[in-house]
Amino acid sequence: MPLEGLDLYQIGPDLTGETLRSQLESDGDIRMHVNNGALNSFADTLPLLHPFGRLLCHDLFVTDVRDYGTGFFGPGKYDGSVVNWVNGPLLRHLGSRAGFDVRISPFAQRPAANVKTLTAMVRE
Amino acid sequence: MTAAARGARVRELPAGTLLATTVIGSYAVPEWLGQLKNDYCQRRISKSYLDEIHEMAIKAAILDQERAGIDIVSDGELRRDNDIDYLLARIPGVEIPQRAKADYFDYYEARVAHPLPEPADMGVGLGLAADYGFTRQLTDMPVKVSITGPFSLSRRIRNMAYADPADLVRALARLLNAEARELARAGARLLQIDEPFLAGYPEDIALAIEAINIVTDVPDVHWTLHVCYGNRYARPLWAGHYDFLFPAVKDTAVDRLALEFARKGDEDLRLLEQYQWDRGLGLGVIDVKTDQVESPGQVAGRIRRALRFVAPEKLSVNPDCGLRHVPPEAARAKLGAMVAGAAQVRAELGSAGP
Repeated sequence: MPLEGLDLYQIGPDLTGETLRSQLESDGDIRMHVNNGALNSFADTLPLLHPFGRLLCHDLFVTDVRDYGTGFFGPGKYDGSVVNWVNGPLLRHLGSRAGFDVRISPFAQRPAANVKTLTAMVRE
Repeated sequence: MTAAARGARVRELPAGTLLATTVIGSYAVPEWLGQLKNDYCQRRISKSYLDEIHEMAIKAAILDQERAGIDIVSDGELRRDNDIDYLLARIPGVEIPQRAKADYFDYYEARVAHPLPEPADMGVGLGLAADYGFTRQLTDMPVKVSITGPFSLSRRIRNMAYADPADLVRALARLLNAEARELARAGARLLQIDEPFLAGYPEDIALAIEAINIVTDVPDVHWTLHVCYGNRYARPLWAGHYDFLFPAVKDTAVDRLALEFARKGDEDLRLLEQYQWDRGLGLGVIDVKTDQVESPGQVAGRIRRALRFVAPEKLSVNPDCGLRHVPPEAARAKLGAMVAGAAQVRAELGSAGP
């Protein structure tokens, strides 16, 4: 259903669809999971990070880093289940607005494995 | 046209005003304004559009402060990307190779490759006097203008010009002094130096104070020195206590210290008594790192605990730091609570207030 405005799409208590704007404007017509749960969890976790700390999340399912930006794998078996596909640009944007650098890269110890690492740390 | 020129009397707080309320400087930046600032950084809107947007936002910020009952208002520093870049980008000799930013709030990478010009060689000021003039015409309330101090500015510059880094701080101080004189000529009487980085370099307190005294060498100006623990993305930059300020800060030529006590509690209030600080204190009573709005009673409690250490005639009331990261609705409510809390205590002291 079309929205009157992105801000009417409530992703979480303190997050609206305005968060999506930069991705929609830069990437055009995309099909991508918003993943409200992961986004809210990420937003709630960042403020807990120590100023010199790093948040590391390992993902065991995504085979290609590019899937964080363009991958859409639903609706399907895993949609809404315990396995969720993460929207990388949204996490990066959310982190940036809160003063964090967010990177997603292959697992440094085993780059060929289906393990990807999200790193978030305070930006100066 | 200034308020005076249009026949309005610029109000002054009556002598002996107790618990005057003010702001530290920055006011809430709504998400949409941040997005528009980003649009400008990414060349999506022009400078003239952004200037108009800023002017509209400043008008609203002043109205918010007036409606809340704030005694000394500011322009909300809404033109400033952050506490550093607005000034650095205007200082001749400070090079900023890459001016595009993904996010307006990011700091520039600035450098100084050659000694900065002396004020007499500059010709034009840094623009704060014009900013003050704009604010002055919008309100007949007393207006305060904040200037980021030379020490903090120097921390964001890669120094390639001075063998002694202290000379960069002094050179910046001379330029800021010239700007403060411009402000005074334009009619500004309430100026504030912000040193948000000082708490991270307590060993440099003597240099910072030397530089502050260069800046404040301006006749007929009431100076406030604001030292906090930083406010990047509503997070502190530093930890610690205000012990490092004393007794050195007694050598500053300022009339008032504005410090944060809402978030940090009252432990450091004893320093004012211990070191016999006999000038004004701007008491931080509003936590700017949370959206949770204080009650007037909480504010009044914070003022009362300060009165154990500071005489009421020396005390003014302000948020801990700028309100930049607080959502507008919460910012309005926090200012309202601050004014109401100050009024409660003023009534207890038997003063009608400003």
